[in-house]
Amino acid sequence: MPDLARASARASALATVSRPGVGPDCGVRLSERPADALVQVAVPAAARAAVADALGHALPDPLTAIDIPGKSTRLLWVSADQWWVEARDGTAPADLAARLAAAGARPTDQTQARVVVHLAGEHTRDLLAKGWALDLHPRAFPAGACAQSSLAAVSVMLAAVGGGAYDLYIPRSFAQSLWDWLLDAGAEFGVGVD
Amino acid sequence: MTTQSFRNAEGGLIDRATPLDFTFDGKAFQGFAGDTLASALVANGVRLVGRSFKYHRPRGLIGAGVEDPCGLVRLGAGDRAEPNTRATLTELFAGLTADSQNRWPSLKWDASALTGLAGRLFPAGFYYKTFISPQVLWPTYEKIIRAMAGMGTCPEGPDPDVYDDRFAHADLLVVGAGPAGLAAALAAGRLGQRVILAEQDMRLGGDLLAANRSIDGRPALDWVADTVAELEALPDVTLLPRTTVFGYHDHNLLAAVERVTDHLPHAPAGLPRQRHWKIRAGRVVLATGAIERPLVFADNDRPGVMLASAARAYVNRWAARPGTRAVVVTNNDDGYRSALDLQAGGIEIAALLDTRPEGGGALAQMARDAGLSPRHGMAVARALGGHAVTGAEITALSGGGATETVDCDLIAVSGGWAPTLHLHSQARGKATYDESLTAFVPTDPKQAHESVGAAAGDLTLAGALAAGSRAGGDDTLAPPADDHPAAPIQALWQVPKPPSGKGKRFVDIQDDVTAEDVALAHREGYESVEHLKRYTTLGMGTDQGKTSNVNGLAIMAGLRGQTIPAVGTTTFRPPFTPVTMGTFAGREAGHHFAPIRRTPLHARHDALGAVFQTAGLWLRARYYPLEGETMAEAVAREASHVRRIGGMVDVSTLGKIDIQGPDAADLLNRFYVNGFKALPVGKCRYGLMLREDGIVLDDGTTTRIGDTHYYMTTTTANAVTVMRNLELYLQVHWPDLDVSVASVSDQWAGVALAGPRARDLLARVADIDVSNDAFPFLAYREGAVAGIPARLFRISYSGELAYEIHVPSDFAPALWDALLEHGADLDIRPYGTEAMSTLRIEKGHMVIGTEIDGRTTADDLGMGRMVSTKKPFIGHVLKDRPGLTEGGRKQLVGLVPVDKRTPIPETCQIVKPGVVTGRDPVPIEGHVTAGTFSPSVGHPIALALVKDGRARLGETLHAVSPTTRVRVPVTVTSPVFVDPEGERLHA
Repeated sequence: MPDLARASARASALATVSRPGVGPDCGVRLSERPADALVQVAVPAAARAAVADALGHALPDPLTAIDIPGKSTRLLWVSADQWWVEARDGTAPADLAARLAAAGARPTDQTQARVVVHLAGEHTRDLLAKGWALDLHPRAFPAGACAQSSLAAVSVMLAAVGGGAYDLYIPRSFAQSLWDWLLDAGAEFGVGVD
Repeated sequence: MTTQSFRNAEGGLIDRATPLDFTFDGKAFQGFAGDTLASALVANGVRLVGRSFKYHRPRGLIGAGVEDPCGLVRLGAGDRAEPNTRATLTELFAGLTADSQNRWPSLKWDASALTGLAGRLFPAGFYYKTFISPQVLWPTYEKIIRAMAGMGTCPEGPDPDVYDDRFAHADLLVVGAGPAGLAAALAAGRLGQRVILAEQDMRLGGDLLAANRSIDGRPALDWVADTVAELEALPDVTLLPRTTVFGYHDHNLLAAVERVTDHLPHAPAGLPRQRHWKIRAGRVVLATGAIERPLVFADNDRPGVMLASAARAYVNRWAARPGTRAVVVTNNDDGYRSALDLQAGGIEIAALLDTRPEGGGALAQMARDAGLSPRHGMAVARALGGHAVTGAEITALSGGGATETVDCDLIAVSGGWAPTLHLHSQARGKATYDESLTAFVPTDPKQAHESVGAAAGDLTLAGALAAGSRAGGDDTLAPPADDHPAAPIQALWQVPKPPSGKGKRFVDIQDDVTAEDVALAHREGYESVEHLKRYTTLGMGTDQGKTSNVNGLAIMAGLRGQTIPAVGTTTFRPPFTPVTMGTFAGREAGHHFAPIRRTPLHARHDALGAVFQTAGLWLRARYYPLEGETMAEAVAREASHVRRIGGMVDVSTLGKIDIQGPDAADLLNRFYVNGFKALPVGKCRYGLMLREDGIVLDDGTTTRIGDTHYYMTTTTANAVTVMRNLELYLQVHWPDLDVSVASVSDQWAGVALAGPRARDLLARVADIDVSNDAFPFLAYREGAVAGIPARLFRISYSGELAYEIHVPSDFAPALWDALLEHGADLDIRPYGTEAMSTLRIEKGHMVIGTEIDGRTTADDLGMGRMVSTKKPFIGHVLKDRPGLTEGGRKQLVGLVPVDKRTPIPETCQIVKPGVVTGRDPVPIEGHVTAGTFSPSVGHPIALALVKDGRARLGETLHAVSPTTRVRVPVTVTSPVFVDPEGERLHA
């Protein structure tokens, strides 16, 4: 068999999108931030303690996301007894999944199911409010809050990450379409891509 | 250029340093920044602005704001033109072009105005009475009526403008930025609440902009300026001028439209024309003010008859005189304020008539002090003039009808104020008649809202400020204002006809409904206000009766001998004012109509010149045409190539679901009609799902990839439905099952590799043994393909030796490239969904939407033997309903044209030979579900659902389409046209 190990590089779902530069008047800045691993994990009640041990942190409450201090790992509540574990420290999805399975959880690799887009800038909330029905005022959706809802008719996970910035987890197949929407809807504020 | 000869040299909220040129009916005019189109027309002495709906009578401006029924114009040109726009709400900008409506050939000489002369022939219910029969002529009648009665004309092309959506949330939404609304917003804003203040006007201030009032001993406009400045500085207060809240829905959801760039000659890049706000408010303060009512007298629609409040608004706010010599007539004290302001604005008051025998209160004394001579118990009986008022016939209401004539060019009328309770009513609040106000006031709010100030019936300025502040959360903030004790209002719903009997007394000036029409409706039995509205059109149209409703129902109450509250009001519905359709479309226009799903291989297909097809939200590669090739040629070539050599197709759109847990096999067993408990690790199984009612829902394969770990695929169409069903049953019906499910449709991409040479290619790129023994049909393997971790399935949709290779989505392009590269010398080529469809039709495989059409059972589709009798599953009870099991059901069969040449279109119904289709119904034997040219058998084939079809193999029937006049004699065959033994599959 020929040496076919050509797949070391992941192809971005946003490979062909328009990426306007960041100007001084940009009200919103977008950046694509692929996770090294994004594992969805169903945790039976009996396994919660073991999973927390394996992660080094308790699983977050509903509608909450936690960046584990000192680690490049974020935990996001997804639904009843389901969370996402997002790693940005080079962890391979299979290794993370194996660790979670060993703790009694049921991991599902979603690393390439979601495109992570970071949004920052003073008009970020104004832009999201064009297609997102939930309240994003810091009093209602403070840093550390996360929620899944529809953004411009696409079901996404949105996490408030502090400083008025948000991380958007877009289903891969919708990423290009929603990216186009963000540029279009954000035109009045000026959108740049980092 | 016409000079602004009716503009005062000083005063008003206009910027005389910024003149703005505009045209009306092609004629050039000039106004100033701060003008509305209406105020600029007034300043230029333009009186005639339109023709009426039914009688084509000349009409002028009646109001100065949202209430105006007549100043409807067409704005702009071409596809940007907008008909039925209120001149009173249109902010003037340089280069504005407006045209009057409902006139031909010109506003001054309108041919249809003859209907006005023949008005006796056009009474209430005229359309219903005249155009009833003969019925066949209705289409003709309709055209005539539309041409005569329609208001404005729509542009024909697509709307070139961009519209926007915006969700918003607030602790408090304040509707209306008059004194009450500003006070409410200020009080709440100071308390740190999140406040949205929406005002339909371009400027905040409400009635204070148009009135000479004082607050706390200072000009009221100073208080407005201070308040607005403080609100602007509060971070959680959002001020929305040019924003009309037009709908009040359940759960305190309110809809508003913001006119973002309508007032600009050119919209800055990126800004929409209008923005549709959807506001969720904790509480709502309705500070929507009140609307002055006109008085009903003969020819009260002549241009120059105007609401007194509107006349004073033109003078005060815009320094524009709507006349030079006015008759003012009022039934309440506020008319005196108007008379004083008109006089101060340079208009001679020829007569000041108070319909009340006892006259007015403190304001009446102020009028006398200013040299005016109010005449009590007097009213205008008839306006004189045609295109403009030239005088007024005035009369004593108690006398014998003797009249005198006063020369004037303006008749300012005040019939009292009616609270604007539309939003309160939309929110299902009640309206209660208030005798002291002779108007309905809002009571019994049903949601978290409160009406304050004039909207609640309190017409004093101090009262508005206090109520607003209190509603905003601070009852200490209530500055004093210059109110005066008023004498009671007089209920005067119509002034008797003049002794001459001349003239029409309009109740609804926009819809041409007269007091006589109301009386006619009453005589003919249309007494209910809802009937009155439909029969006479009272309160219909773009203004929805803002100035006419109370007068009309009061007249009806008088005719019925009942009180006004006993007669009641019609229902208020959204929108409060008309909203252009583009605003509702918002951003969901053009390619943003719906989001687009792309597979990870989209760019690869694009590079190969694929023609795409929408499948739900997905874009899929339909076929890859060679130069000069038609679609049919390309599809036949691709399908044939797969059968002869091999091809690859993107199947990433399949639904994919990860299922884990000790009860996973049990869950599958309950979902599929066939058994899954015995499926070993490393094997796939085809499964069929029913709906609860026993009808087929979906099919797909599920693979056991671990001891308690399964990987399910669904059809593209039903990916969401199946996932939703799994979650529903696990959460609601079977919470005892210990199973977890997760959609992985976007995580995994899939490529199907099919054809005689598929194994040769796979052997080159995969690191597993792909021999038939090591990797037999329906086996599952994990391995690396082109160095990519992959899930491999020996399954086949085409009927060929085939594999599905699933890899994480980001690696799909690398997989595709490797397959193309290493398959090049094997001549493996891509094929699209259309060839895939041809291949499946040849094999008699069914598809969602055509064969699985929400009506077919497993047996109908020839799958009856798959259905387990040993276990319960979703649909197992209702599948045995008599209707689903008795004979005569349509069954899946194949069709071949008898001449082996004629295509069998998919729209065909199937009848017995000799059955003539035409006007009468004929017995239908079935219908064609899918047709194609089969390159494998060399002639057209089709799949069909035919009554008792499996028992009719060999029978000749006719496939017919009466609409396209197609009639194809066909032979009923097995639905499997290629390789019925499945030898290729297992090769």
